Amino acid sequence: MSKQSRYFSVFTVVSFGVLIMAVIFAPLLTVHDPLTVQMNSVLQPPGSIHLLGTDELGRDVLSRLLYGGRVSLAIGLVAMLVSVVVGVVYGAISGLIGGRIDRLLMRIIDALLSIPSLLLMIGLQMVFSSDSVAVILVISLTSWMPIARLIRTELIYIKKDVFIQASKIVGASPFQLLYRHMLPQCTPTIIVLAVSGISHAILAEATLSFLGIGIPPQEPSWGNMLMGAQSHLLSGAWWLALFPAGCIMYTILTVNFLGDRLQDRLAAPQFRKGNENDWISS
Amino acid sequence: MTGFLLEVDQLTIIKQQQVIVSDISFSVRRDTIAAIIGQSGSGKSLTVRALVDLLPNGISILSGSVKFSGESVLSMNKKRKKYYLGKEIGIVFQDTWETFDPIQTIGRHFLELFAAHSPISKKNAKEQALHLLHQMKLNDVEKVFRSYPHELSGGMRQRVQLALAIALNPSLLIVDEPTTALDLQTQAEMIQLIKDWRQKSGSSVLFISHDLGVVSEIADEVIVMSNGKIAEWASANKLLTAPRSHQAKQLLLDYSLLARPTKVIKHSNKELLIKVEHVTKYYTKKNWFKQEKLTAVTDVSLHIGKGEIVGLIGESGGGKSTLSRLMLQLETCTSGNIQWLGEQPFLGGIQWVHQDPLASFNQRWTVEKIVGEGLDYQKGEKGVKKEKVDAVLQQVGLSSSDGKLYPHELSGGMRQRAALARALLVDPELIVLDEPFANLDMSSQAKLILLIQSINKKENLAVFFITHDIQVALAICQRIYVMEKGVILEEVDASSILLTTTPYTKRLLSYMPGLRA
Amino acid sequence: MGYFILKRIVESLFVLVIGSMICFAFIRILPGDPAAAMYGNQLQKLSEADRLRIIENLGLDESLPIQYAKWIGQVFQGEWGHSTISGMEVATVVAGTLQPTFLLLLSSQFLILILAVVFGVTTGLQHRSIYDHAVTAISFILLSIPPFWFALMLMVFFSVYLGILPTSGMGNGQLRYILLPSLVLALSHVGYYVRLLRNHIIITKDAGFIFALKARGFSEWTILKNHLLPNAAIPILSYAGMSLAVSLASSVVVETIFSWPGIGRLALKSALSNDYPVLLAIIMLSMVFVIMVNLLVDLLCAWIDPRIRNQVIEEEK
Repeated sequence: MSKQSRYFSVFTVVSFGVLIMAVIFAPLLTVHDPLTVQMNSVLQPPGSIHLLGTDELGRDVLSRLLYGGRVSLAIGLVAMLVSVVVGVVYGAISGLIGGRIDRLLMRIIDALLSIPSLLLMIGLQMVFSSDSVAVILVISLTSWMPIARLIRTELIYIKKDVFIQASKIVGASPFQLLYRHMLPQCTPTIIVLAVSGISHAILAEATLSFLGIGIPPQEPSWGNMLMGAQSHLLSGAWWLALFPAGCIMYTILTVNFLGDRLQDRLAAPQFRKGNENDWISS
Repeated sequence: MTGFLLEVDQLTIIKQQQVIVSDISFSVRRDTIAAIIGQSGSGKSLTVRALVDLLPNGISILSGSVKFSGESVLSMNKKRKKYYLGKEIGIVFQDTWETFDPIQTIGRHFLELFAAHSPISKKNAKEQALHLLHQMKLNDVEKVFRSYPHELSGGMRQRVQLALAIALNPSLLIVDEPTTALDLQTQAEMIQLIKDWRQKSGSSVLFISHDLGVVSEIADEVIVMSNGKIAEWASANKLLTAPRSHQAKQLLLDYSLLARPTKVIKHSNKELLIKVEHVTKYYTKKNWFKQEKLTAVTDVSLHIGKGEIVGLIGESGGGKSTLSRLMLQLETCTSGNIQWLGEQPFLGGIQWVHQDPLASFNQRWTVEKIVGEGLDYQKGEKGVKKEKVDAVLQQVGLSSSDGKLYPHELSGGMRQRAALARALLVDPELIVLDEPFANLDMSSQAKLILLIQSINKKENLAVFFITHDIQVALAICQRIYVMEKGVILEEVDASSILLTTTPYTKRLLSYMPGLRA
Repeated sequence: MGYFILKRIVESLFVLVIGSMICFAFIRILPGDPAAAMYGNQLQKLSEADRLRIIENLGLDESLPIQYAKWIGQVFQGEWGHSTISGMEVATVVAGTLQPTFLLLLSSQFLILILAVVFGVTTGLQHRSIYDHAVTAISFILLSIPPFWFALMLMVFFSVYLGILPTSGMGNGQLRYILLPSLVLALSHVGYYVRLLRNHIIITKDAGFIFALKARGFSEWTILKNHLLPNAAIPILSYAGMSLAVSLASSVVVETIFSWPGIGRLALKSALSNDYPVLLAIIMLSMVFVIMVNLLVDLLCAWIDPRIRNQVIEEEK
């Protein structure tokens, strides 16, 4: 890896770490309560009292941004974890068992994937009540399928690999094959999927909230803030939209970038590109 | 006009700062067959690519010149080069799988070629193509013309490649390792086709190979390449009878090792190790409409004694690998049984070296870890693992520092040694070698044969050697089974195989290069 | 080929059956009485006899498989119920939104194709040039912008600030109305296509057969036109098929923002007003559409690539 690109990676990690820290320690960093309505100071532009201005109800944008970040990031993380666990288990069962069961499980995934995910989310959201847990459930229930499919394909290929048979011949038991060869072989895929799952979940939360069917409006989240900002976009209150949108984009961009770097670092030794400034692989 | 068609003068090729081919000069005379011979990694393939000015990215010509009929190839303009590549030169590549556009028919390949370089009509082009395919001794040329590359066998694809290369009657045909991936029969036929064409056309041929046997059959002049340099350039006769350079002598030595049948050590002790009795294996290929039965192995019986080297020869697709997988218990027999009579348990007592060592390694692991894997599954071996692994690496001629490398960093020969080391580590009584030489050059083959023989002698280890190459089988085995289409045709001592009466074996023998029986 | 076609059709039918079961399960888990879920407020307006008939038709007192069979029968007869809001037939409500959405999808796919071929091929051929890095970085950024935010920004810039493009609706079908929505839809997906095509070109241009073609003296243009592009068509096509569902999902957002009278906007509207019958019909319809298109794509790929129809490349088993 060249010096420049390594510095860039380090810089990305550090700056993203700062964002996460700020979000975690939000109560220590903010003066104003994110929920307090102050009708005497509505739509204040960024200034010395309200660093990033106030919204149409006089709530402090910085506070809402940091507290909202907690909600958005937490949802991203938890939803990703749930969908990865479900996806990996489902994919592993399908790939390892094979045969008819595998075919049935895959057709179910085909069916689920042919329903546009947002429609599925909208539909599910009608079943659950509207709170953070429901949002997490809806997001994870609609995003585990590609993970399962990928893990299954990977396992099917690994199962056939000559080196698995070679290990069998030097004495490995089926269980040893699974945890010494098959799982480590899948780990990079799982990690990369997990990372991209975070950005997918954050984006999904933002979209749902923006459409008004995500997090309840009084609770701050980045998507919610953007929805609130929509109607003030034309009246010149740019700060309402810019900061949450910036946070979402920055987070997704960073997570995608890190995922890409990870993919390279975790590749089998002969496939590592090292210094190439390529975010592309696969 | 000189008598030289192609002249290479002080050519140096570099990759980044590193010199790969250094200062080589040679020429190809008109109306002759010249051969470049060298081990893999000697720079011969890159030299070929430099001749057509199509070096891969990152590799470039530092100095020197390539002249074709007195004209410098490296400074041709686009139009000239198109003519040069299209009409003056034809190339046949080693790999037949990769050299065709997978989604276009063989016919389209011909039509496109004629459309680009000659003014003949589409109808004539097709006739011409069919004629060429016919010349290549292909059956049912119409069908071949309509086929997609993957529908043809490797040998057929190689003939089609040759037909494409000579379609426009080039003055120079370059043939880059055309026979490496083929079985001996196709190899022999390819060589004959090339010779016939050259005689008829009066053109020149530049033949690249690692196999002295093949080269001695075809070439008038031989250029020996080693480590990016030319070690010797002489007429074929002279090289074979009186080689001057050290490298040429080594080649001859390796070749003679491969070409000479082993002195058979008769085994007085006939204690059996494994007995295969009437084994049959078939696969069912299911479709919604029909169920096809594909028989891989039919009623095979064979036995291997302790410390014996037994060969199994036959053409590819003949059920050899299936048989080995059955013996290794990777698959179960449809009928018949396999009896293990060794002192150790069946699992572990029999080990395996696969034809593609890279595929048989977990490539995320270092060589050390791969080789040592067998000990991880045995109790109470943890403490001595390091020494044992080092010892076994040394036994196969690898150093313990090689153990720190990843498989892809090893050369083909080293990979095969590592695979052998992994098998030896668990002290087996029998090793199954499945086409171990498939991807190795002649010199690596010779070295590996010596290694296998020495291990066999020292450890009293039995070896079951599976190959399509009768020459190699003769060089290493004491007893040989001949297999065709899943059936064992005969069992014969290596020393008496030349006296065989089985027609199939006779045919296999007749394809051996260099052997004039 | 015949066998391949048959196999894929049967497979797709199977997927359809499973999909319909999922939809059926969806009705069952909806809160409240299934009859109410199907007919909503309309149920109150119906006479007692009609209500009983409906309940019997739904077979609520029978076992689940029979209920499912009855429900499927109704779906096939076009009895999709009534919108709980407007009281209109669901089929009529949904039918009106198909054309706008179709138009939007088609135009965005067209944009994607052009952009992807131009940028994917040029970056692939000039791998590692500054141009390549720039395009690659831009498509990376495009992939990270939430589509709704992108739509808002373009709307503010072109419609409000410059005032040259309309903010909403589809007018009388003039081109300028469709420009922004399809551009947003295209740009938020094109990154993947560029990346896919670029990677494919990078790998294929060093493939053995391309070298063989060069060595036979073909020009770069001939090789690109006759070999590189046809070979790249397969991954692009199958990706387009796979991502159709994703495009439909994004069209919900884009249609809502631009008030495009399509199926996505209708879906969201019915979701917000608890109009189950309409939402369910939309979900079913898009599922059928996606499955059909994927079937077509697979057949098309098999037609282009003989290895797929001969199953040399086995996707599964």
